[in-house]
Amino acid sequence: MEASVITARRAVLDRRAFVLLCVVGGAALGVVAGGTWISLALYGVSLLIVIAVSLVLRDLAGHPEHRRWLVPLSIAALVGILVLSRFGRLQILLFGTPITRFGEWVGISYLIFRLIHVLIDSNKLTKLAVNDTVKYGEPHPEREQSDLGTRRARSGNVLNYFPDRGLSAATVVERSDVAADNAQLGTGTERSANVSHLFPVGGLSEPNEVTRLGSDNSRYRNKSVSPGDLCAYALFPPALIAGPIHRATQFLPQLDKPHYPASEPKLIDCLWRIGVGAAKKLVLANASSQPILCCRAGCCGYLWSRIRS
Amino acid sequence: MIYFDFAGYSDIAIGAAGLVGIVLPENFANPYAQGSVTRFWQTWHMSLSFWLRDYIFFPLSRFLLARLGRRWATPIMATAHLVTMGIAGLWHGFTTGFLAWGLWHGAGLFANAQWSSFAKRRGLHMPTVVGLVLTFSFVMLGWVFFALGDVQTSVHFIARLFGG
Repeated sequence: MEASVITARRAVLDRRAFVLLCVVGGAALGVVAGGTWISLALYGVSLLIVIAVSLVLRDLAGHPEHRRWLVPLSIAALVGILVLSRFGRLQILLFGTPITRFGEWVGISYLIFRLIHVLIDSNKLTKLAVNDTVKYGEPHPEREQSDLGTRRARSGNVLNYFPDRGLSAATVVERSDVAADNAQLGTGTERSANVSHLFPVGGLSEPNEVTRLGSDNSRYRNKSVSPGDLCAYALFPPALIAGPIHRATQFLPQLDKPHYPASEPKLIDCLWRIGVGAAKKLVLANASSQPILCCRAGCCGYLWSRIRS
Repeated sequence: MIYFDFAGYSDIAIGAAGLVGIVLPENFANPYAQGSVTRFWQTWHMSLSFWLRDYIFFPLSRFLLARLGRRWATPIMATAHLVTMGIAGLWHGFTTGFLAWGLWHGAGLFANAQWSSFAKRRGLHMPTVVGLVLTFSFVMLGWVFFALGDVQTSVHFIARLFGG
């Protein structure tokens, strides 16, 4: 009994240390990447956005009826990203940008993408949990009645234009919503629903618990992602600057695992991956940037001279 | 250039995350070796294209289908593709070049989907090499809009490339 308590305490400490590492590491990366106080200020803005989203999630957990504000909020965030890109420097991605200048505004827009992920995914899970009649991976009976016309309308593979080949993560949200819909439509997305590697939204600590959502979902009604976990997810340093845009449903359950590579081969794999990435970025991309810039300038100059003449 | 920039960064991020035991999703999977524009977008900056698919393309197409009905499916899909990829373009910056790049790919995705369903009905099959060459050429022409940042210059550039 005592051993299990000690193990549980260690797990909590380990998790807190990891969250702290993410927050501090993100700030350090901001300073290193930008080299100015502006980057640190931007990181501060990111942190404030994460805290605001955490409060929204807490509110949603207590008041599911506030879900109706999520779509306008998400659209506003998306417009915000677009406005930000007007003033931002996303173009710095082009032509062999030094790795230290990769971030800044790009990082903030990616942060918002991740937070929209967590907002919408937890909204869907709340919706799933509130309705006791919803079975995991099965269509909603009431919705099926009300949307029968729509379902018929969709039944001709009309949503198959952006088919999922199983490359995206299979999540409980996709399985319960998108995949359930598409399983009926035969659009190919249902393939990802059969992947056994399903992750719940944060707050559900054991992946296996997801399978009991249909019968024991009242437990999860008031669950939401904790602020610390949300910080670790949104400000995870390796993905802070320019993605990948990972989902909370993939990321948060991994906080329960030990935070080091399981074996030596895995460590070598990771180092090899970093080496390959650095070679692509620092050698192939950066080294050839000048010729491409010259080529671009030369082509433009030549074309303009021809066009004007 | 942008592929090596971005794929290199993604490799570093995924490797660094692996050092602390976190698995991040893949972002690139040989996008230039794909035989269709759809496959290109399933392997190019996957995390963003799936984000756009899940939160813009699917909701928009479902909303329009529910409102307008099945008979408008083709124009609805065209609209959904163009809007989704137009937003993806504008996300890179508010310039006509980025918007044109997004719309170029939206049109390409729609055309690819139409061709796929037509080919499936007729039992046609495009040779792999032809698909690869067409996709690569299409994507490369799209980069002209992306790199030059101005539609007029880009159109002149492309016209000159084809001897216009």
